[in-house]
Amino acid sequence: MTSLTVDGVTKSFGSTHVLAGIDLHVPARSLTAVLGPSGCGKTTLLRLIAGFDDPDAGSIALDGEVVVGAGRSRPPQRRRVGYVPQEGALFPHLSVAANITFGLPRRSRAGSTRVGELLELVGLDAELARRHPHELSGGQQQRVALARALAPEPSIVLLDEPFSSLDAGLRESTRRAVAAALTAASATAVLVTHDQAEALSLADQVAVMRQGRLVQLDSPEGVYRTPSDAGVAGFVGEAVLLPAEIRAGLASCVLGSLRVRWPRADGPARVLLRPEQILLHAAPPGGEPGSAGAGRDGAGRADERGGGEGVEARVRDVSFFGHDAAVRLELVAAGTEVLARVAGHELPAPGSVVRLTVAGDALAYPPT
Amino acid sequence: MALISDPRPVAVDPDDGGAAAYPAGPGARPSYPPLLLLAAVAVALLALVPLGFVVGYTISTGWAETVRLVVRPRTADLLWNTARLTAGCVLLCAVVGTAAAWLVERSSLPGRRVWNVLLVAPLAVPAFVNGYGWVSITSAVTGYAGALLIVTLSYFPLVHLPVAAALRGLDPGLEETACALGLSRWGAFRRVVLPQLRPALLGGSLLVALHLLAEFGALQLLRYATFTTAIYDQYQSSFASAAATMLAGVLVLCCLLLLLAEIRLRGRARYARLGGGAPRPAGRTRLGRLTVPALAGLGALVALALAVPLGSLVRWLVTGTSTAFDGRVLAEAAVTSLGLGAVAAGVTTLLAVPVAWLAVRHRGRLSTLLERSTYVGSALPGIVVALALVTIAIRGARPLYQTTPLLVAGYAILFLPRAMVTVRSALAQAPPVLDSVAHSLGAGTLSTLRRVTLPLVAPGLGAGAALVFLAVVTELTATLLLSPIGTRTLATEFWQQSSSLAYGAAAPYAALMVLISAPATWLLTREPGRGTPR
Repeated sequence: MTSLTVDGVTKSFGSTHVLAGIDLHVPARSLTAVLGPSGCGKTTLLRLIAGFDDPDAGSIALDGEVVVGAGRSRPPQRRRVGYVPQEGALFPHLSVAANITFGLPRRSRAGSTRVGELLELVGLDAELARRHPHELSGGQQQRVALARALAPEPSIVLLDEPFSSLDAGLRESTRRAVAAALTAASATAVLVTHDQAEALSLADQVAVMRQGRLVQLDSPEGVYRTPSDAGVAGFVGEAVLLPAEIRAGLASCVLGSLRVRWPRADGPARVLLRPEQILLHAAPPGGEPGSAGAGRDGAGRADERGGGEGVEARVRDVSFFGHDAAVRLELVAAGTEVLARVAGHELPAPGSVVRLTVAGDALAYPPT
Repeated sequence: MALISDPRPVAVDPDDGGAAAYPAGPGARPSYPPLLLLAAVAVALLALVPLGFVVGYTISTGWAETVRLVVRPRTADLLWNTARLTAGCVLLCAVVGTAAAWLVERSSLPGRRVWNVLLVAPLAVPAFVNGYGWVSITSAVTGYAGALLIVTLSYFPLVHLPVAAALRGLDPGLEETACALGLSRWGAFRRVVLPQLRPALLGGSLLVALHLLAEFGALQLLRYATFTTAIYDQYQSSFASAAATMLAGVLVLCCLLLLLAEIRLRGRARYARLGGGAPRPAGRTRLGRLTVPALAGLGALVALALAVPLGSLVRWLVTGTSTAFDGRVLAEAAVTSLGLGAVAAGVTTLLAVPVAWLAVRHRGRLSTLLERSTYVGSALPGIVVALALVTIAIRGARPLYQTTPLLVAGYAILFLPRAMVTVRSALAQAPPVLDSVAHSLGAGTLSTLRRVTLPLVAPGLGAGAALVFLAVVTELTATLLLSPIGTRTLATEFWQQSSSLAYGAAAPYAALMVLISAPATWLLTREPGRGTPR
C-alpha cells in the first residue's frame, strides 16, 4: 500500500472556487478522514484523487509517483484507486460475486477464491455471493462495495461518505466492520465525511476542511483538544465560548479565572471549554455563603464573588441521552448561558441552582 | 394517432427523477459534449418541423389571406363540432374513469384484478376499430351522440389509468390525518383525496382531449366532421392546399391552448408525498348493498367498450369471410406493418438516445429546452405532421416525397415522446457514479459502456422501442397521407375496405391490429414500480 501526497491543488467550477490550494499527506497504511460541512469541497478533493476530474493547478502523487500535475493526468482506470461511493453504487445487474470480481482481469474472475476471502474480510457470509444487490441490506451493500474496491488490491481506497445513508444502528456496526477490513488489508484510505464522531472514532488523522481550504491536519485527539480556531472547535464537537480577559496566563471570565493552555499575550480574548469540562456541584442549602459545596476535587478556581466553590447557575433544561445528558445552564450573576455534559446517573432538576467548576485547561482564541 | 396511452410530458415532470445528477461542484455549468449536442439539436429540430411549418406557412400567407381562409362559416361549424365533442368526452371520461378507478382501488368491489385488466383493455382496440365495430351493426351511432359514446368508450382508460395509479400511491396517512382533524369520510375525500388526484385527472383529461383533436378514423366512419376529418377531406380534394394548412393551423392552436390550460390549472402546488417511510396500502370502503349496482355498472361499461366492438369483429370474421378476402394481401400488409413498425421503432429509439442522454447526464437549460422540444410532436395530430411533411417534401425535397424514409420520419416525430420517456428513465438506471466506480476498478470508457451502461439501459431501450412499434402498427392518419403508393399496411388496408363499406373484408386487418396491441395493453395493467429492480 501507498502514501498519498496532494500538493497545492486548486479547482473551480465556473466562478466558484471549490478548492483553494490543498496540501495533504496521507501516510501509507493509515486512515485519514477529511471532515467538513457539506459544500466545503471534500468530495471534489476525493474525485480529483480518484481521477474523475482534473485539478486546475497542483499535483497529486501516489507513493511519490505523480498521477496528475503539470498538465498530465493519468485516467482513473490506470490509477489503481479503490472507490466506495455513497450508498455503495453496486452494479445492479450483477451478482455480489460479479460485483466483487469486476475489477479483476478476465481470467481470474470465474472460480476465484478471492470472492470468499473478500467477503470474509468485510465480515459477510460467503452465502451472499450469489445474491443480487437489491437483496442486500444497506450495510451489506456498503460492505460489498468495499470488498469490490479492495479486490484488485488498489494502492489507496477512497470512501465518499459511505455510511451517511445508513440508519444509526447499522452505521456503527458497518463503520467498525469497514475499519477492521481496512486494517486487515493494511490499506491506505481516505474517508470523506461530515460526521465528526465518525471522523474522530475511525481515523488515524483528521483533515478539517472549510470553504475549500484545509484548516487543520492533526490526530483525532489533536483536532478535538487543540482546534486551530474557534470554528474548527465548534465543528468537531460542542463548544462553550466565553469572552475573557487574559492576564499572566490566566483568563478571567464569567466562570472565574481559568488556566489557559498556550497562554496568549495579555488582553481581550475568547476562551473555549468543552461541555464535559464544566462540572456541576450541588449548591449549599439555602445558598449560605461560606458553607461547603458538595464539590469533588475542584479543579477550577474559586470564584471570589460567591462564598462557596464555583459559580452559581440555574438549570434551564436537561436533554437526557441515557449514557449522558446535556444540561443547559444560566449563570445566576452574569446571565450567560453555558452547556455542560454530565453522566446519565446524576441529573440535576430543571430550575434548581447548582455550582459550576471547570476541569482542565481552557483554550484561548482572539476575540471576534 | 394511435391508442396506447402516450406517456406525454404531462405524466412525467422532467425535473423529477434526476436525482443522479452529476456530482459537479456547486454552481457548475454543464459542459455539453459537442457531438452529442449536435445530434440532440438535430433531433429537436426534426421534432419541431411540423410546428415550424404551420407557423411559417401562416406567416408567409399573410394576414389578409389567412383571415379570408380561416374566418368562414365552415370553420365555425368545425370549431363548434370539435369543441362540443371534446368538452363532452373529457367530462364523461373524467367521471367514468375516476369512478371506475375508485371502485377498483378503494372499494370492496370483488374481482379487482380482473376489472383492472378489463377497464384498460379498451386501449387495445384502436378507436377506428371501435367505431367500425359499432357502425357496422347500427347506423344509429352516427352524429354527435354516437360519436360521443364511442370516443368516450375508447378513451376513458386514459383517465382511469393515471387516476388509479394516483389512488394506489396515495398515502393513507393523509386521509387518516384529515379524519383525525375532524373531517368526515366524504369530507376527507373531497378536501384531501380529490385535490391529490388533480394532477392525474388533469393529465388524463389532457390526453383525452389531444387524442380527440387528433382522432380521424372513428369520426370519419361515424360521419362526424371535426377539424381532422375536414383537413383530410380538403387534402383528398385539393391536395396540399392553403385551406388545408390553415385548418391545420387552427387545430394546432387548439392543441397549444389545451396544453397551456392544463399547465395553468395544474398550478405550482406540490402533490408529491413529503417525507420518508414506506406508504402503507390504503383501506377499502365497504360497498355493502351497493356492490350489485357497482358490478352492473362496470359490467355495462366493459360490455359497451369491449364486447360490442370485439363481438362485431368476430361476427364479421365468421360471416364475412365469404366476402373473399385475399390471404396473400393480408400477409403482405401484415409483413409491411411489422417491418415499418420495427424500422420506426429502431430509428425513433436511436433518436431519443442523444437527447435523453443530455437531459439525464448534462442537466442544464439547453438540455432541458432540447428535451422539451421533442415533446411537441405528441401535442400535434398525426394529420398535421403528415400534412407538413408532404408539403415540405413536394416543395423542397421532391425525391423524398412518397418514400418510406419520409413515412418513418413522420412516425419518429409523432412517437418520439414515448421513446423519450422510457429511454430517459432507462438512462437514469445507470447513474454516472457507476461509471466512476467502473473506471476506478480499471475499466476504460468502452469497457464501461459494454459491461455496465448497456446491460443496465438495454431493457429500457427495448421497452421504448416496443411502445413505438405498437403505436406505429395501429397508426392510421399519418400512414394514409405519407405511405408510398402501393404500400399496403394493416391500417391502410383496413381503411380502404371499411370506408367502402366492405366490413367483412376489413375484419381480418382489424383483428390483427387488436392482437398486436394486446400485449402492450396488458403491460399497462401491471402495477408499476414494484418489480425487482433488475
